[in-house]
Amino acid sequence: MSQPRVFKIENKLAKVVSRPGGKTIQEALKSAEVNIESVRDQCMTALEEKAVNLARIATGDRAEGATATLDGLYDVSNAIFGVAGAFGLEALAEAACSLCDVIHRFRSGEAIKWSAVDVHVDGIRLLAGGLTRGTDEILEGLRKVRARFVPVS
Amino acid sequence: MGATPFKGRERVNLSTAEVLIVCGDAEGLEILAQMFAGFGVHTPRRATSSVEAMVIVGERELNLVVVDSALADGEGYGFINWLRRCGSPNAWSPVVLVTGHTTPSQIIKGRNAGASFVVRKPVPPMVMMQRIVWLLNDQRAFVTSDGYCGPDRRVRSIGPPVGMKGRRHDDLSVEVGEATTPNLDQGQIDALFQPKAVAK
Repeated sequence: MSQPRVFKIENKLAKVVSRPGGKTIQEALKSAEVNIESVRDQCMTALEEKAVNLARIATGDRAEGATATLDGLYDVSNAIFGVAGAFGLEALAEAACSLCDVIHRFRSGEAIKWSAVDVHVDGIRLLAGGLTRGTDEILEGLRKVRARFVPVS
Repeated sequence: MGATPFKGRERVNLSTAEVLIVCGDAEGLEILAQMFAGFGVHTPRRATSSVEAMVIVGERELNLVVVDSALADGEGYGFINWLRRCGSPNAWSPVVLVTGHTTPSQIIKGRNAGASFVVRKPVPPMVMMQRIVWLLNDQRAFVTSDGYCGPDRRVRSIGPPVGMKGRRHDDLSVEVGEATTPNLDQGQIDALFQPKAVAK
């Protein structure tokens, strides 16, 4: 076993950021928001595609364990959560996060209940498709399903 | 954009910064790249997999690395682990780990992989900028050992855990010894609290 070493390092970020010029932080934040907004349309289209992909993966192998299916669902749902959150789509982000929570439990040894997965996938498809009416009911239903598997923290 | 914790004239110059962004999801990568372009980074380097990212690490001297926990070919934790031990100066670059769905164990995993900071999605520009500003003032030492490689995980210098002997040569004992210099008298103490004129 080698001896641990603790040593000072140059802050490589501070070295460049402190140079004269650049932007005020306010300007930088504003520019970042404008830039992100410029890709909103392509991200909305991608969200719908991800939701379709989610439904396709959900029809995959459901045998004992079903590791590949659960992993695929988790990855896509996690990606939906990230993109939806970035554009303030709170209902879609919550539904996707809820599916991640449920799958995390299944991957950690809890007995898999596919009905819990299916209801999430359906909800996410509706929300990603731009549904505006009935979102509260969908989320309320998903919260109840989630509560059966994930202890309240 | 709402109120920010930043002063109006605070500036950042990221125009020459080499920033590598690694994210397995194409849209997630695009959002982060647009954010950093808005911050003033001339050309954010993009990678969707750890394999692509490793190539960029070998080609450029990086000032900041932003890694999503989900990559196209695995998890971001593995890439950070590799980066910290890759043997190039890039091993010491500040690393921000961005996580989506996050469990406490993932936060610990990211910290133990060597991330300088873990940020949970969604990450608005304001939050990312706050973390960048925090990293600008990060004075932590770098630790290399068999089990861990990365910035010192003890963010605050509060000494070793109670009841344990410190493992570092510069850890102080929790036992407070006798004073080695005379105590301050009340006048000297009061003087420390007196307002004083300072040069502008």
